[in-house]
Amino acid sequence: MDLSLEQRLLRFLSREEEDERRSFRDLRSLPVEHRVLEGECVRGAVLRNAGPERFEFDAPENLSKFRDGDAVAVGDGFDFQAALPLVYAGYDAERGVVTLEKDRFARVDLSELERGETYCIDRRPLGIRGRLQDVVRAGFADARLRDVLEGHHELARDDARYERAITALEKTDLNDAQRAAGAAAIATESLALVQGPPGTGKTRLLAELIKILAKAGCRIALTAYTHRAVDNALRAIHAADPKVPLFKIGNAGANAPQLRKLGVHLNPRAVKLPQSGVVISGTCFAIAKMTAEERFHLTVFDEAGQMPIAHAMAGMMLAKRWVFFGDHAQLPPVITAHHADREVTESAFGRLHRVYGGELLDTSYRMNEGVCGVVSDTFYRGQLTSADSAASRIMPFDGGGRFDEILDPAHPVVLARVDHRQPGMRSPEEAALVADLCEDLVQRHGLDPRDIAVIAPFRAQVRLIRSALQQRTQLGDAKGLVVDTVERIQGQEREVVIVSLAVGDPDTLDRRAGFFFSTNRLNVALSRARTKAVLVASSGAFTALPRDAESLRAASVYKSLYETLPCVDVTGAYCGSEG
Amino acid sequence: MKPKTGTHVYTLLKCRRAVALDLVGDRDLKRELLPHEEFVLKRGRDHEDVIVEELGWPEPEFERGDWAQGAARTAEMLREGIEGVSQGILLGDDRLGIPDLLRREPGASDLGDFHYVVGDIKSSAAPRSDQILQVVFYSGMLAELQGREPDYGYLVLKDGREERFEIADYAPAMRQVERELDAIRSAPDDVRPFFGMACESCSWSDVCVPTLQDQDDLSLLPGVTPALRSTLESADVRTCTALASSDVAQVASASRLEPALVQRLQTSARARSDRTTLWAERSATPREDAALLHVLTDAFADRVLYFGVLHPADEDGEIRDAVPATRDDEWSAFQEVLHAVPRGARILHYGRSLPKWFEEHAHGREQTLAIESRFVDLALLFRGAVTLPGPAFTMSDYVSLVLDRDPHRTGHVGESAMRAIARDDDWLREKGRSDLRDLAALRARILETQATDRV
Repeated sequence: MDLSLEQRLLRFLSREEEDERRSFRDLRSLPVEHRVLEGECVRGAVLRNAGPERFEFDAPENLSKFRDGDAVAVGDGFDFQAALPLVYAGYDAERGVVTLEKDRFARVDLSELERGETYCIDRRPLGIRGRLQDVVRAGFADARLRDVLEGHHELARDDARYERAITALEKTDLNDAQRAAGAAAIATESLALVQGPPGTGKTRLLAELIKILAKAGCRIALTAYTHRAVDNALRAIHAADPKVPLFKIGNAGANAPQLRKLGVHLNPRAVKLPQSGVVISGTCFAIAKMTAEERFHLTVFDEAGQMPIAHAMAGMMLAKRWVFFGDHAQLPPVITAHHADREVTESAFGRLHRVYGGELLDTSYRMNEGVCGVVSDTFYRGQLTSADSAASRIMPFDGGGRFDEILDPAHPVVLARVDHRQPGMRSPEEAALVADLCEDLVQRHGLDPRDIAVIAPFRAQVRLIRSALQQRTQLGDAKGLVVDTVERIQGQEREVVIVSLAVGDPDTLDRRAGFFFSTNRLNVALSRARTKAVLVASSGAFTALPRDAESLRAASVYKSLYETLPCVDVTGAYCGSEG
Repeated sequence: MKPKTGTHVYTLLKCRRAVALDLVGDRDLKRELLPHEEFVLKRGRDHEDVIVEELGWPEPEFERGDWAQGAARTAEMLREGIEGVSQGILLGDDRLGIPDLLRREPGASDLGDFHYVVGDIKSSAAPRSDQILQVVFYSGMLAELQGREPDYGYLVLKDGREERFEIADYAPAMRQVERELDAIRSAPDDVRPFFGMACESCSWSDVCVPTLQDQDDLSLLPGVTPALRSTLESADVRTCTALASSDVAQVASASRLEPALVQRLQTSARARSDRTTLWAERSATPREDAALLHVLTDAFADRVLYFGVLHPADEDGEIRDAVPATRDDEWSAFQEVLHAVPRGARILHYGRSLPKWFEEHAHGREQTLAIESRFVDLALLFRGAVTLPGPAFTMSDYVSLVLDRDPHRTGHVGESAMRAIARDDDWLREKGRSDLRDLAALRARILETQATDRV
């Protein structure tokens, strides 16, 4: 049956919502031990301290994937209706203590939780979407917007405005590619796309652009999928021009105090929003709740490579001109359901770029020549170069240590091979090597822990590495050393990045291939590095032959890196005789 | 030594042992193809014939089995610059390739101001890795012959659609495949059998499976991969029986595996050793109003051939079923059987066939999400609820292992398409109904058994 794009997007939203409900139902039908192995349950958690707001549980065997802020239910692991809603607030691996906090939106009596009692901690659903379906329907009723999304629109620009934009941008210290992209964005009568690979000054350009437009009296809507991206953009605009009035609607997010300090007006419900020379921002969910009367000169989207098409429509409804900043070679939208219709799972940026093309920012100010070369050749068909100011930078290095071969700045991207065959989402062998490398970087080479990031594909491996780091007394207080999944680290950069792939059994990778072999994730992980990226992995991670063609293509990128990167084999030291 | 062929590339992704046996095994030990397997092969060949006939490209003429002559003739045809060659022969030092299609494209090569690209005709709806790698393998041989890489490779899929891809995107995977094939060719007897999903349809299964059973091989346990088997063996656990009686902490420590994983594998080993099914500790599943909905499909034709509903979802429930004659009849047939399900009752099914069909056909019609939200996949529930004495890849495995019934007693599910073409509606109904009763029995046995034989 031939469906319209509108129908396909509505189906996409429905299926996403239904899938969330279904996955919880399926998860809960699994026995406790299976949920534990899936990382979705902590069993045998004994309540140690119960405060009115915080609860501490002894849970030495915590294999869960929970992260701070996740909604959890505490009960006997069987009767979910009787389980109490709380929020996960962290795990101290050294003490084996899970901390949970009261959910401020849930009105329940938590006095039922008894000290000394044993509980199961399970994930619980939050509920999502809704209004977006109305947005999609309204969006497709607008013929111009429908044409743009369906690929029938012809791009147009105002030449006079383009010339004025070039003149204005020449006064900035932006590079040629940034100026060209900025002028195209200002001059567009409909749509402009700016692809910003890692460290190419995408947010900087966005800020300069908004500064110019606000000064010209434009009323600008600014939106992104996450609070993090919205807040980053607001900070950059403030840095470019503190006089631009900034508003953020909807939930303020975790950075509220910081934004307030910058003078951002948060959740201004009672205030009538100004009509000119102003930036009104919010996540796409908050923007979707704005009344139809609110109109803007243009909408600016940041991190649009992570925004599904349906979600972007909320922002598109607010104006007739749109500027999309993003990079479809970096993280894609988070999609939970299985969709036979793959096209609707594309990001707004990916879809529009495929049809209309865009401007590429081609100079990275972050990565040195070596890191940039690998990233450019692997993910950008060689179009990316390192800026002069960054090209020759190297990490601090004091030779004579145990890991010289791996950390030698002469090899900016290197593979440290540990040939374990772990079939799950955790590798103690890799975690031990990562912790040793971090210790060496800080102790011998004098790096500040804040200059190091460790990235792993699975939360279970993240936790294992954090635990290994906590045991390194030589590292002292390693505060600031980021250990996380790639989703949590997009937008950040560090002097040195260590990526732990965790899986060593190629046959189990076939099952997880769609997630594991993501060139987008690998791109984001490696390109966080300014001067050095170490890929810690088993050779087994590179020998899988996934059955799905798209996964095989991505796996080939991993294989290509395995063939070309300088490799240091430390299997003997970390896998013992079993390796 | 036999040369590497496209078939070896294709087979490697399913089973390395099958490649080794294809190279050196005693062909007399291969089992005969079943009628429905013959049917699938014939259907693929017919599909190929239709496309080749439409193209009208010539085949090289040569003495049967004289590959060198065939390769020489193919090279001549390519040098002549004809539009395309069907079933050409490509021959290298240790490689033999018979691509379905070689098509002329602009772009200079050693052959002239043109070159050729490789295409293969497949019966699937979407391209698969093994199919792509086959084309990449042929493309490498063609590159040697014409002195340049082909611009792209392509597959002609079952609906006649052409799917193009860049050869370079898959080159690293191809190099790995070649390395693995070389390793197998140099020591085929070293490739150990491994029990997997591919065994059921493999014609070498009579050679491998009895050996694995005799050896009490660890691959007979669900969730064990070749690497995991090696890891356990290196920790001195070599059989299922040994694992069943081992000390979990010791094995975990020696193998560096998660204790929880070793524990789960040991539970499976015990179920196998005791030839019994073990139920995981779980809360009582409240009895709810539910119906079973089962479909028989023809993947090649992208068709549902049979819809059946059993309500209530018990073995003695009432069945309403329908056999849609054409694709256009499918939705009404679905609605007809759905009338037997009370509003709000859960719709139990097994596997992805029903939701996949529903997603592709239902949207745009009223109330479809309300129906879809009632779907419950028994495959997921079974997987978590029970530990079986052997691996269960399909519903048939559950029927054998849990109910001790012959799942094929009314015919093999693979026969469905063959029977539908023969208009054997009675067979489809009998098979569908028998499956429905089996599913009801499985549901009762797996999900409603309480407190006996617990882990």
